Amino acid sequence: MSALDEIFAELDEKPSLSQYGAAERKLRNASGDLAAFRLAILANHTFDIGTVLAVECARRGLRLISYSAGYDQYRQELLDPNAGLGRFQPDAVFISLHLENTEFAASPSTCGFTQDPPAIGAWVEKLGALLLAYRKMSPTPILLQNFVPPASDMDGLLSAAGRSSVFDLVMELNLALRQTESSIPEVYVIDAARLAARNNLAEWSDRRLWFLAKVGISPKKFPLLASEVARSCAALRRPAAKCVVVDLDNTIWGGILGDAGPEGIQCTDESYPGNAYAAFQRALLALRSRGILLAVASKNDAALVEEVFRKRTDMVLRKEHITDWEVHWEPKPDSLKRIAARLNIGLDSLVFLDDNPAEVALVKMALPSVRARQMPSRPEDFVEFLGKLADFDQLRLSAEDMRRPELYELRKKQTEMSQSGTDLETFYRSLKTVLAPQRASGSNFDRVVQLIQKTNQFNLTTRRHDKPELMKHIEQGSELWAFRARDVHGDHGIIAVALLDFSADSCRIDSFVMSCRVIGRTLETAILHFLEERARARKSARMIGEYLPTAKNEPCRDFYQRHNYACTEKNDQGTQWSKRLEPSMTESPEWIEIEQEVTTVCDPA
Amino acid sequence: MRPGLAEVMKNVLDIDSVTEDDSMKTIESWDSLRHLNLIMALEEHFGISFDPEEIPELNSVRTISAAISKHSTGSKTEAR
Repeated sequence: MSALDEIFAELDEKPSLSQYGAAERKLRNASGDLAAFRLAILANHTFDIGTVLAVECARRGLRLISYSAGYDQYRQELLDPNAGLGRFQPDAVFISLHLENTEFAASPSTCGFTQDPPAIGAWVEKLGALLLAYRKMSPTPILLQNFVPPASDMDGLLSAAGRSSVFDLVMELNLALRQTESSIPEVYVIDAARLAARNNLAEWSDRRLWFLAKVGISPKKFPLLASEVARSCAALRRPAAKCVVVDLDNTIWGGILGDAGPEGIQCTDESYPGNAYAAFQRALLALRSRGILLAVASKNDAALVEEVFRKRTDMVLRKEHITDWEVHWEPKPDSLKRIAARLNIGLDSLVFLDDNPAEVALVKMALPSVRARQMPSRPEDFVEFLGKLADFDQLRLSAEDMRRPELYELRKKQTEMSQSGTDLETFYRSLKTVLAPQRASGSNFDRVVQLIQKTNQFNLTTRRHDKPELMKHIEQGSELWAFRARDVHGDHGIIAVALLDFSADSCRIDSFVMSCRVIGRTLETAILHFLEERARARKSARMIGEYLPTAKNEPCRDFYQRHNYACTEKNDQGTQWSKRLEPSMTESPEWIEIEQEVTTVCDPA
Repeated sequence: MRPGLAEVMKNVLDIDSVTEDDSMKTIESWDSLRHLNLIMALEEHFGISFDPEEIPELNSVRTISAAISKHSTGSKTEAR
C-alpha cells in the first residue's frame, strides 16, 4: 500500500472534519508526485472548504493549489482582470452560490408561496453575462454549483398545489443554469441539488452557522461536495474511459456457466439474485448509451457463452450490445491487450471489471494502465458501485460520443469485409466514401475542439488548442477545417480537423488530427489534397508540415514522407517537412469523393 | 487537557502543539473563518451541539474545554 493509500484508508475508517485536517497535513509530505491543480473558489457565502477539497483532490490524483476569493466577491473577481482570480491563473474556477444570499432571498419567495414569482430568467441572464465577461478574458473552465432547496419553507401542504413553491423556484433556477451551461463554453454544473437530496438535505445548511456567520453549506457536508468537485477537476484532466471490459460468471450473471449451464445462470427479473444481475446489465447499457463500449473477457467455454446469448432471450444484454469478445482460457491481460488493439484505443481507456480478486490483481500488475476494478461481494451493490466509478466521468456528452458504439459496429463490419479476401482497392471502392470539408463554425465547433483535445494517435503536432486559441488563429487569417465522412455504412460525423496558418508565400499545417476510427482508409490523403488546394487558393507556393512525436502518435509518423514531402529540419522536438505546390500536388484517391463546401462561413461565437 | 481536544485542534488549525493557555490570540491560523470549521469538528468529535450564543465566545482552549463539559451529559459522549 502506498503512503497515499494509507492516508485515505485511515481517513475512511473514521471520516470526520478533524480527520480530514489530519489527512491534509500528512498529504503535504506525501503528495509531491501528484499533478498540481490550481482551483479558484468563489462563493457568495462563508465557505472554507479548502482542507477537505485538498484531500478529495489528492484521492483523484491531483495536488490542489487553491485560491479563495473574499466573501461574496465573485462578481468583482469575474469582471476584474487584475483581481486575485486573474493573477492566480487557475486551471478551473469553482463557483458556489447559496440561495439565501441571492436577490431571491429578499422576496418572500424563498420561504414559500408567493403571488409575485421572482424573475428567474433575468437573474440567470445576469449570471450568464458575468460568466461570458469572464470567458472573454479567460478560457478557464468554470464549475458552477447549482442551488439546493431550503430544508424548510412556509408552503405547508400547498407545496404540491401552489404553482410557485420554493421547490419549484429552485428547480426552475437549476434548469435555467443548465441552459447557461450549454450556451457558454467550458461551463459545467456541479449538481449539488442531487447530492443534497441523496444525503440528508435537512442537514445541508446548519441554521446556527447561517444566521451567525452566513455559512451556506454545513462543513459536515464538505466531504460530499468536495468529492464531486474533485471528480470534475480530475475529469477536466483525464479523459473518460472508452470501454468497459466485463467478466461473465458472477459479474454479468449469477452462477458458473460451466456448472449451471445456459438455463441455470441467474440473470432475469423473476427473483433474487437474478434481478440484481439484470439491474447491473441495464446499468451497463446506460453506460453504452453514453458512448462507452462494452466488451467481454471471460475464462469460459466459447460455445457455451455463444449458446447463452442465442438462447437466453430473456436476458437484458444482447449479443449486439457487446463490441468485442475474448472468451477462452488464456490469461486476461492478453485478452485486454487484444481488445485495446482491435478497438484501436489505449489500454488506459479500458475499465476491467471482475468478481475474482486474483484476476483483478493480475491485470493490475501486468497492465497498470488498465483501470482494473473488483466487483463488490454482493450483486445488489453492483449498480451503485458502477455509478460511483469515476472512470466514466464525462463532463459533457457530444453526439459523436453517443454514437460511438454504433460506429465501432460499423468498423467491425468493415474490417471483416476487408479481410474477406478482396483486395484493398476493391474494398475502398466498395465503401463509397464521401468527404465533406466544412469551415469550423458555431454548430460544429465543440466537436472540433474535442477532436483537437482528445485525438492521440493520428495527431501530427498534438497542439491542444482550446476554443479561444483557435478563434485567435482564425482572426489572424488562419483557416480551421472540419471534415465529415460518410460511406455505405452511414454518416461518421466529423472525423478530422486541420488548422492552416498562412504567411506571405507558404501555408503551414499547424494541426492535423484524425479520429482513429477512420485510420487506414486513405482519408488522410484526400484531406491533404484538399489542404493543398486551399493553400493554392490562398496563393501559397509551399506547404509546410511538422511531425512532433509523442508516446501515442506513431501511426502518423511517416505521413509526410508517404506523401512525398521533403524533410527540411530535424531537432529534439521532431521533424519539419516541406513541399512545393508546383508542379504537382498530392492527388486524392479516386475512391474518395470530396464534396464541395456548402456551409457558409459563420462566426464561431 | 481533555482527551481528543488537542488532536482535533491540531488537525483543524494545522498546528503541531496546543496547550491549555492557547487562544485565538496565540494561534495565528485560528481566524474567524477557520473557527467555524473548528466548532463543527468539535461538535462532530464529541457528539455535542453548542448554542449559537456560545460559538463566538469559544475563542480559547479553556472556554472550549468548559463548554464541552457543560454539553457532555453522561459519559457516552466522551467515549472517543
